[in-house]
Amino acid sequence: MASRTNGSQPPPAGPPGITMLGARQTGKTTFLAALQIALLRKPDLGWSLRGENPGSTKALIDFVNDMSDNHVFPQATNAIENYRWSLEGEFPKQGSWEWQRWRFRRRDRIVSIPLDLVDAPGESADGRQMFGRAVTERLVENLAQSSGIVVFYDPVSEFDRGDAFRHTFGVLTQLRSMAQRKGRLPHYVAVCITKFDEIRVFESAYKLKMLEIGAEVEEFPRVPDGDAEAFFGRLVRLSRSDNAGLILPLLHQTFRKERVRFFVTSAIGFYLNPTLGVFDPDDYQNHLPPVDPEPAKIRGAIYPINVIEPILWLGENVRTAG
Amino acid sequence: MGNGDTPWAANEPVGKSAAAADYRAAQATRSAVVPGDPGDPGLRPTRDEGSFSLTGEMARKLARDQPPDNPGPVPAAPAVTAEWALWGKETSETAYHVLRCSDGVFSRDDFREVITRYASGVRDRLPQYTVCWIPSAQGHHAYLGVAIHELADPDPARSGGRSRIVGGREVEYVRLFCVLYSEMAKFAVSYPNLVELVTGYQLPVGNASPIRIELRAASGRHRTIAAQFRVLAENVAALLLTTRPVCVLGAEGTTAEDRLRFIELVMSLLPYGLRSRLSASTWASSTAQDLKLRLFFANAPRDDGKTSHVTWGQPEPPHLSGEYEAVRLYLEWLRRTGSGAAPALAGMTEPPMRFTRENVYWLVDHLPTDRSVTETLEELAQNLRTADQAAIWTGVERLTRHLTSQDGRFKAIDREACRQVIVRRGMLKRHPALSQDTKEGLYSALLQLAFDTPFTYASYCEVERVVGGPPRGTLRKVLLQLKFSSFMPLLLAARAEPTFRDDDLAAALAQVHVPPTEPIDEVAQLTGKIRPEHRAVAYDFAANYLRSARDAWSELKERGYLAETLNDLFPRDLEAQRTRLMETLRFMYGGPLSQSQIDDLFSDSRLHLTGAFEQAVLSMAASRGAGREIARQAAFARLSNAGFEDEALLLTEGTTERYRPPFRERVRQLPRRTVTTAALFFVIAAFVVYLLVTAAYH
Repeated sequence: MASRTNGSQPPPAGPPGITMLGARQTGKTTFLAALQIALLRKPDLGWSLRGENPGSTKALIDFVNDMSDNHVFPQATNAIENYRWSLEGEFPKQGSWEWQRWRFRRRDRIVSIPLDLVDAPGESADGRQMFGRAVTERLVENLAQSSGIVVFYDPVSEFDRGDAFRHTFGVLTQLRSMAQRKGRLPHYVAVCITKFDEIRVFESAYKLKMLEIGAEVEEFPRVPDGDAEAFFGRLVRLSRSDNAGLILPLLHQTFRKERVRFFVTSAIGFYLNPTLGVFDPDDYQNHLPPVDPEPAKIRGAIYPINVIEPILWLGENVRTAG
Repeated sequence: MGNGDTPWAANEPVGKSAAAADYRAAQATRSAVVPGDPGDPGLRPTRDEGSFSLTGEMARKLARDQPPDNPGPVPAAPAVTAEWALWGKETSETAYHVLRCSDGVFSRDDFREVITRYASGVRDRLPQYTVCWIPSAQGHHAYLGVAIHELADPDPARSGGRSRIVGGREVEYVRLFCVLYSEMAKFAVSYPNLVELVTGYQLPVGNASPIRIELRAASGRHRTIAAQFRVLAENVAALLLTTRPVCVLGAEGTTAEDRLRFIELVMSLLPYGLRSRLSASTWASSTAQDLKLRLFFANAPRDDGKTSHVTWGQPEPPHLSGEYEAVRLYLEWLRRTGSGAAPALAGMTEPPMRFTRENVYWLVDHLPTDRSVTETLEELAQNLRTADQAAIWTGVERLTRHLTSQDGRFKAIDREACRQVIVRRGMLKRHPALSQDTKEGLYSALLQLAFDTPFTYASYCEVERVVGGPPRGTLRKVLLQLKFSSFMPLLLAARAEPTFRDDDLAAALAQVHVPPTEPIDEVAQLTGKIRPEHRAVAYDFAANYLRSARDAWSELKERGYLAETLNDLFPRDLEAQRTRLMETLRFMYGGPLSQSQIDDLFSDSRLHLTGAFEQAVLSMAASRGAGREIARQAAFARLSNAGFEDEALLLTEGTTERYRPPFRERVRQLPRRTVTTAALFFVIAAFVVYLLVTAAYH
């Protein structure tokens, strides 16, 4: 094929999207990149991911190759990227009844949840307008058109920089001003407390006695979803800035409370010593810091924690809303 | 085409004996499979089948001792002024932003908006290039920009004070250079040329002044791209006029530099004025939302419903529906006009031009008629007389654009016409009033217009005739950068400067894996075609290069000690032949020749015996009385070579009977060294006998 002039049709209408919102280096792209690996790690869930256009499919492949084969993190996003994937679930004998082989049998149920994921550079949400004005406007437009938002909160960078509120307040204020109806916005919001695998975050959860052992054979610890909001409330107190505590009220003020859920996540998960095969509390750091001239790397295999859950929750709700 | 035009690897085997012919055939086969580098010929030594060219470094080395053309002050080249900005992160920062910028027309916020506007997503490889436009607004005129996306150099001395890794991630820096559209249009500056010119500016902390960039000719690599991708570029240019973005797929194996050259090729097939509305990038993410690029390369098609896609290397005609009739007409015009299109379109610099349907209709109505190349040459010759720098630069750019777009379809008749103008107007002569860069661009364009590439020996002779002697100075420097059909024109161009050393050229040839036997075989083949004044130079270098062979001894024997070649090269100069043969024999045997060595020489069936060879052997014979024996062996060899083997044998046997010399004469014929050694032996033996006898009696 040498040339395809696609005529004058308008762009295909996408499903209601899910937009990532967070400061720079909070792990938005890494989170997306780990999505496929997370699904492969949990085949029992019955979900799989597929690309809905060639570019998104290529991105999916590159993400998995980079993280699992090359052990590197995805490159920083410098423009608004739009990944069109879909979650497909096949659930045996959960569909409708039909007459088959001389008796009524239940069909397999196949569910497809479109994911229109928008990933923007963290700088574009900065209230101090560090990035281009046009990009910021585009991000707010994307948020307005989305039905779901993933808000990323990175306790480590918040402790170092304290810029989470600055990256949330300005954008959400603009978003509210664009809303056509009064009252709280109808979006579903998954607040992801990222980098659970980092020592400082894990230790905090341990000291707060918020850990439980997961059901996997590897016995990875996790913070139950029920405790995630409380954990978030405790973490914001450690922020470098005074106004991180305002994030939670801001979210509740902007969105309906029942549509906001908290998840404690880790895109790369804990390091698992292959000879042990189970989580080792004395050796779990999977993130290798950069050593000049090498960038940061991933130490071992990737076992994402709570990566698929927020997307699945948002996807199901967005599909219903759509 | 005479022998002088025969490409290097296409030489027919020459030689009288079947063994030599077989050998040379084997040599030709070997030389055809000498590893050539498929990569960028400007960067690595290259050896194509039928030709080879030196690397830039080699050419510079060969031209290193070249005195400047102009003894006086060097005139300044035309220049443009660039506003600039550097985008990235400092070591202590996490956010990308404008690190520093010039303090000219644009503010820091302006630069930030430009860089983020044309962001094209994550790149899988760096460097990449984006070209963009900035409309006139708020008191400034329209600008064109080029952004270099790159990592900082690992060498701190060349990184401009930038860190390669910040916060655990490699930092993608962007160096943006913006030049007034009017300046770019005035000199018809191409984007690859602009990148070449600004690439050395690392923008360290300190000086915030806009940069003054002196223009110089672009490298010749873009012509390769033009030759390979002309039809595809025409298709893309037409598709751009549909006002839809165009995405090129399948070019992942191509360098960013070549993609930039392709972008330039496409742009050269559109009016120059459209550059004020044309942005492009050598790489864009297929998932990037809201791209502000009209032309870009990607690794997957976009599904935005408006982008046209073409595939690299597959120039199938675009499907243009009825609503794009004007575009179809434009494409037909491009195909019909061929090489004349680009120079003509380069003259259409007057904005405002936009990618709208109305503008396309207007464009088709006002398609330019180009001046012919010969007209441009005549105009350039006139400007050379008046030394109008800007006009000369524009003329050279025009010729270069013509060459770039001619797609290897330059007809012989056109070339002949160009050559006639260039010769008649003496355009290859010295032009002391021009700046160095302008001169290089001028000579490069003229040589390519007048002569075929690879550059042949015949072409070199023509250059000498036009210039009135060996090409010196800048002309020689430019010649050395050409692709040569064989070693002869390269050698003569290099030797045109008296300070040149053969060793440098030998090293360069060895680096491009030219076998030691090839130059001498070429000389042997061309003998009659080589001009007398070039013969000594060519033979001496080739013979010397042959001596660097690992098995030079057998190679020389294989070629009959080069006696025949010398006889053909210097038919009336026995002394020239004799001294060179003596050099060869001295190289092979190390000193005076013994009788057995002389016997070996004359009994060799590969020897084509000449009078000079006989004299050379005679001069080198260890024994002063060997003359008669040499004459006899020479007579025998001549008879044998003439096909009278039996008679020669009879003669030999007969002479043994009738002319057996007396003992004293035979002793006199013994080499002096042998006599001395024997005498010494007898003295020592007598002394030992004396010792034994005295010991027995005591």
